Amino acid sequence: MQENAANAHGNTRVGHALDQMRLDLVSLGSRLESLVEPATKPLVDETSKLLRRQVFRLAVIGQIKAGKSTFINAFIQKPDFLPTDVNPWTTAVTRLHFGADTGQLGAPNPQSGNPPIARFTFFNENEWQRLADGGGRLRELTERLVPGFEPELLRQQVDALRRRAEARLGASYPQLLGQSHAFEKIDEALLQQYVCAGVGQASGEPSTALGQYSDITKSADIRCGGGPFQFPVTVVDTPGTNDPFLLRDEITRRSLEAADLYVVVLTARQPLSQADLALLRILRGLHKDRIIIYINRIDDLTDVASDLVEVRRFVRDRLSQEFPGASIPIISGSARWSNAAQKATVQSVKSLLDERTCRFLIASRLVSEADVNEARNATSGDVPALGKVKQALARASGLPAVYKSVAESLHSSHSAHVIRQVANCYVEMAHANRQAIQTSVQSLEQRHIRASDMALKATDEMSRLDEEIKQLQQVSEIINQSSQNIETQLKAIIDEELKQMRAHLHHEVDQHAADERSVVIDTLSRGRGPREWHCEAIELRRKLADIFLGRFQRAANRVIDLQNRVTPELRQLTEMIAPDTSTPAEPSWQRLEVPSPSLASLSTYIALDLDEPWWRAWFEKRPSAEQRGEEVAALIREEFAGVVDELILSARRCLEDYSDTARRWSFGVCSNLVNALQGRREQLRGSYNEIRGAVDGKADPNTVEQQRHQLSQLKTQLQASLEVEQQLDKIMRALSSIVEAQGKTADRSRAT
Amino acid sequence: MEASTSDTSTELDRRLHAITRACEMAYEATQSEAISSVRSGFKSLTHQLARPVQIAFFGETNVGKTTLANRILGAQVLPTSVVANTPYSVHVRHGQMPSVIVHTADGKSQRHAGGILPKSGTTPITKLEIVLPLPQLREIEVFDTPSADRQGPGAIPHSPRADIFVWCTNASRAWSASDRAARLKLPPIGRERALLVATNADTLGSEAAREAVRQRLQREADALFGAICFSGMAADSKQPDDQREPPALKRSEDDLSFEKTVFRSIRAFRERRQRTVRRLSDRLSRLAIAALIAEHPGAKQDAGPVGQLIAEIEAFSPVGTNQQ
Repeated sequence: MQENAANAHGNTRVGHALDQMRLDLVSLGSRLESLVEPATKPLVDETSKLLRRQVFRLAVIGQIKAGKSTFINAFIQKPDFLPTDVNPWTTAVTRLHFGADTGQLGAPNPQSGNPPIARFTFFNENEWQRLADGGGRLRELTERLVPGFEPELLRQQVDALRRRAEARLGASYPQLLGQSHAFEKIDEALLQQYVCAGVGQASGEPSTALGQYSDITKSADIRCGGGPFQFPVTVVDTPGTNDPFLLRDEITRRSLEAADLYVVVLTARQPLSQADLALLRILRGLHKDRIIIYINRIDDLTDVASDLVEVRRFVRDRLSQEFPGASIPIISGSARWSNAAQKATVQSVKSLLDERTCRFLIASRLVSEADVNEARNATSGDVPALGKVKQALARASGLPAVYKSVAESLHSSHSAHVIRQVANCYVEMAHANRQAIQTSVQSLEQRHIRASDMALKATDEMSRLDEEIKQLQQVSEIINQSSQNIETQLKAIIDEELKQMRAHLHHEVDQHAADERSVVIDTLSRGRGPREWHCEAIELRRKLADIFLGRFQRAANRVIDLQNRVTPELRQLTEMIAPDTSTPAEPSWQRLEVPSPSLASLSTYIALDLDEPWWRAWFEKRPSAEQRGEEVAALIREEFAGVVDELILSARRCLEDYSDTARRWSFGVCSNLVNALQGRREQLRGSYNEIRGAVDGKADPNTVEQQRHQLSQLKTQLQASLEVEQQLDKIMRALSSIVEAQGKTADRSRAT
Repeated sequence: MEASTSDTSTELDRRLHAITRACEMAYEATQSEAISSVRSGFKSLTHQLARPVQIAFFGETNVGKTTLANRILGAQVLPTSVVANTPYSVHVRHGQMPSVIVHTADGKSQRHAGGILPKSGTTPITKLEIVLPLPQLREIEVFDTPSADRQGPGAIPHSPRADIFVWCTNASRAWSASDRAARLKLPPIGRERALLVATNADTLGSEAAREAVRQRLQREADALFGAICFSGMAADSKQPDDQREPPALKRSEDDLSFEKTVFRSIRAFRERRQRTVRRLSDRLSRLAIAALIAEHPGAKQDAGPVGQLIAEIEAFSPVGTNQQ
């Protein structure tokens, strides 16, 4: 059934190529681990774990009733999986995990030994207190703006929430807080119990099992097998924004956690309203190239064929007005069509074939009129026309285009970046490792012959070996020192850059605060009401994001520059101690970028985002225009101080993570080489020691045999190392071709 | 119910006209100040009573405000579109000569005969007045507004002062937080004068779905609206080439219920207005008779125009004379 669905959409599984490389790297990693020096094994182990942990996170967001859950059902090819309704229905963040179980859902059931399939996590006491006792951040904000001012609606909703939780779960419901429920099986009823609003959701009436736990459930995690994905993917369903139930709106805003891709679902009849734009402004500030837009519910349009052209033009124009120069993919379709096409029953398709849908399918030449008529009269699923109509619906649903966009985005995701980074590290390591073995083989071969008949020279050899060992020790020290040195330099760069970044961001905030102050004073002193002044926190956010990203790029470039200067030096060093006979591969660090930092703190809900009624109430409590202006400026500075702090923190984390990993890895490769050479020398020295002790000047046959054995072992290792290196080269080439193809597509879409 | 309302309304109207006529005659004969003000008082009440009921449509982008406005006008008067389309508020009212009056930001206005929309000039348009000789416009006038979810200063530039507010929300995404916020930005109006319409109800599919939405709306929006109803999708959003002959509108059951709800509100508004006018007339009558007797002592007993005016007023509002 699922296979059929995949065929209906005409797709191979998403992320097929990249996942193959990831798995190849994992197995090459374990081969590499058996070849490298013991001291380097933890480094290989670390990278291998990193590869296994990679997950592509895709968040589906949008206003209430845009059809997010319906879209996800179509997208994951399980038509009836997430429950949907005509009223806002999803109450918790729901994460659907595809791919191998990596323990995201916690430990297996101690009785059965089975890992959980679903886990529902409740708010902990703190979170619940904040929500139910105060109305959460929203309340804090309104309190700060207008002390003693309690929005009636918020209070009502908070009361309703608490009453409802009590009615549904009994007076002892607080005992559930901070806990989670795990299940080994999942069905619709279970989901409805935890993540659906249920009836009477705003009035506090108790109801059936529907929504029983929904008030206190924070998130749901569900394991879903492979689905349409080859690469591990987590799909995140969110409650809608613009929910009149203010508390839930707040929960949703908080759940805009870091994702690799955001699918923004719009509804065709009201495409890109102000609420949508507000959401996009935040997102676009956060993650420029990680957004795709899916215009859902085109089947709601009166005349799909002609209206759709207008809707798409409207969305495109409005986007280019709002975000000049952006290239956000716009896909339109109907998740309902896709779901119907995936279902087996004749009825599910026939129920969709109304006049408008048929007209559209025929007009877009997806299916012939005769087939449509035949399908409408079909009584069994065997009618060939029905299959054709299903195919047409699947294609018109827009889902194939979504898969394509997701696959492209996967190739430029953080995961792909990590995979490239690991592949790079492996290539370097395999290369250095082979050099080390090769050098050892050469010296062993020479010395083996000489030592076998000229044991007397062993003393000379030994002093030469001692010299070499001393040299290697020196090199090792140099490496350690230079590693430390580089670490200090990197730290200095990062500190310096972040200091400047902070100053720059603060300057912008102060500037904005001062400007707003004069605007407010000017507006009010000209006798205009506060309605004439509108707080534009969005504009400031955009500027801050620009400054932040610009500054971050500068810092990242300096970090990479330093690395690029160090890498050739390290190469020279390894060249010196273990001359390479093969042509050296081009160093590829330059092509790597520092992954983008999170801008999530810019989307935090701050006092300045409060709606007009609050501002009006706030202004009423301030007597003079000057005082109002002063306080607005102070508010801006105060609210954004925390935002700036968090931005700096996220930049620091990114830069330090990157520079630390890169430094440890490249010096690790080098140390591995030195360690290997040192080890061999020590071994040789041991052998000579024995020879020197022999009475007749001839080597002990055992020792000779041992050496021969060692040599052949080394040669096998050399062969293995060579093979690993070749395979890694292949993966590297494949990876860069994916990246280049990605770059070209991006260029093309920018050009059009 | 409707019949009795319009009966009393006609009766009241007839009386007011009679008094105004008597005022004219008395004024002609005496040129008195008192009679002049009595005349203008009754004139304005007459006008109040006869004035068309003004209905304004509000809502977010593309919820079908214009479609509903057309529905209430009973003709495809205003152009509709699948994307945000109405850039400024539009006032449709009655007039003998079809014309369009364009109001611009500089405070000027210009009339264009024949209902042909002029090419856009350099000054931004703030309001459009469409004047049509449609008979139904004697009874009702319609304000169509641009989207309520525009942001920034002057988001709702010219909130018309209407008698009945129709707030439109899309049935498949009914009553969102931004809907609520925008609704609260409007000047305070009585709940009984505000209506909530969930448009495009046919996209909901089943009757059960509609009921679920209705229940939610009643729970969440009841405090702000006197009535909540549904309307269907535009039967045909295509604009005919020849705009002089508006096509007839197809109606679904929802549309009928929507129209019924709106007309019920209009009737209720008229009844309230009539009571108000009646109350004001009574008060005015008392004042008028006192003033007339003070200025023209003995006029009550004579058969001249002032005496006739007093008689006319007393007949209309006997309470006034009893007090005297």
